[in-house]
Amino acid sequence: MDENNNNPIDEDDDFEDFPVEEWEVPKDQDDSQYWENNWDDSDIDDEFSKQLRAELQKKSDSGSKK
Amino acid sequence: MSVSDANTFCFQLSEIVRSKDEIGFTKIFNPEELEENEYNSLVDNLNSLDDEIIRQIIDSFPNLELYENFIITYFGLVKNWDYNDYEKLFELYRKLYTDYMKVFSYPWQIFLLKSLSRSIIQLAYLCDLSPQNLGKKKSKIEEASRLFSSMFNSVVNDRESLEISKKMGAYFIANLAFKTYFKLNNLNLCQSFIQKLRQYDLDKENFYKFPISDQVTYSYYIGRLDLLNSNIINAEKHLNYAYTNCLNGNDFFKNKKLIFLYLTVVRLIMGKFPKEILLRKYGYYEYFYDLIQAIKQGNFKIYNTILNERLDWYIKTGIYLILKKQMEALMFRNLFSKVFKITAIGKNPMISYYSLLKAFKFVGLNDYDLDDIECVAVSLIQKGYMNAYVNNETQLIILSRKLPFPNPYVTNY
Repeated sequence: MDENNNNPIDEDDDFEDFPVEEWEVPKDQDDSQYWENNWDDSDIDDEFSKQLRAELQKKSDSGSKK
Repeated sequence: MSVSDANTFCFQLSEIVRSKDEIGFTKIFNPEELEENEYNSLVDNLNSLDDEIIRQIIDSFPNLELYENFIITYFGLVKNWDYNDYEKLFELYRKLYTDYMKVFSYPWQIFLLKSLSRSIIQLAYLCDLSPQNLGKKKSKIEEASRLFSSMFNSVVNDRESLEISKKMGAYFIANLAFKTYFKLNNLNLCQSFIQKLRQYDLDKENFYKFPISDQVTYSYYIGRLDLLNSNIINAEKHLNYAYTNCLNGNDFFKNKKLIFLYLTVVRLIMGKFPKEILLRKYGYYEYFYDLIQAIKQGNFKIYNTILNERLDWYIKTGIYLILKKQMEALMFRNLFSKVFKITAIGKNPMISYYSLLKAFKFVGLNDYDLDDIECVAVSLIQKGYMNAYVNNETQLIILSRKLPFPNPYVTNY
């Protein structure tokens, strides 16, 4: 068995034992700048939007209730 | 430290107990700490003495009386040690662990508790996850989970004030128990740990008195449970705590990567997306980047295609069902929003049911009719995703001029 107390057959999805018990968390570990929650979906120039627009503008048979 | 027979062993141990030497206490009960000649000498000695004599030797040291059974069991482990037989080793440790429950009383003994606990789970894994046992019932891991449960109950039941009590081992044991439950895919018993931690006043402010490694690990498991139970707000709270308090170094990377995975899933549902740089950092670009674009567009067809293409991985990580079911509302919101931006003209902001129907078909939602569209619209309004009202007669959705589609993350969370 491993001296480092790492499980010899921990699998990919196993949360491991940490190498130490205690640590200081540095103040600058915040990475919230890399998460976007102010996404503005007003972008309608992408490929999907263009295709959707073309689809919506097509003349077609009337919509029907089932 | 030279331990070549029962007497020198007890002499050393007596000294260790007197001085409350937590490291010595851990090493002396680890057969792997012995040099080969020490080991052989000890085994020979133990084999030459009968139990009665051994007990007398132990009892000749007054401060070892309480440890008598534990020591005898440990001697049994030493005598029967077999590097090649994991099942046998597991049994020996199981007995030792059970005996330790009756002995373990003080915080300076937590170190040994952790060492024994790690041995239990490592041996359980070695037994159950070996290639020849693949696909079979994980009986040793199940056994380990029962051992942790028993140990946990004996640990929390202590009247001393927290910092000087064996209760300081509580979260460590709980975390190992959770590890086994997740491995066994049986999470029902997690709840009893959570309740006991609350019952014995080890949560709330007291949670923060435990080692940060315990806090992060526990928050990870609780966050995952919250996610599975669709408690999105709590899931985010717990996983974010684990994420921000887990260090960034190499030794922490595997865990941080796992935390990030489930935090991402929670935030996707809420409408907050990790940027490409983060996905690449943690190696999840191929599983989430295109998925996120599909979510933003409300493109159900692409979304479902991606899920199916990588089905095995999403299932293995336990996120397939959540991604399949929980993303709907947000995606409907985004699709409606797209249609609105494309078709809305003039002073009166509105979308026709009919346009939506075409859009739905365009993204592969072929089983919806105009009534269904109205239902979806109403649902979005009720959830606060859309500020509007529906007009069944004219088959139009009339939207708020100011803020037809509030930011989902800000609105709901």
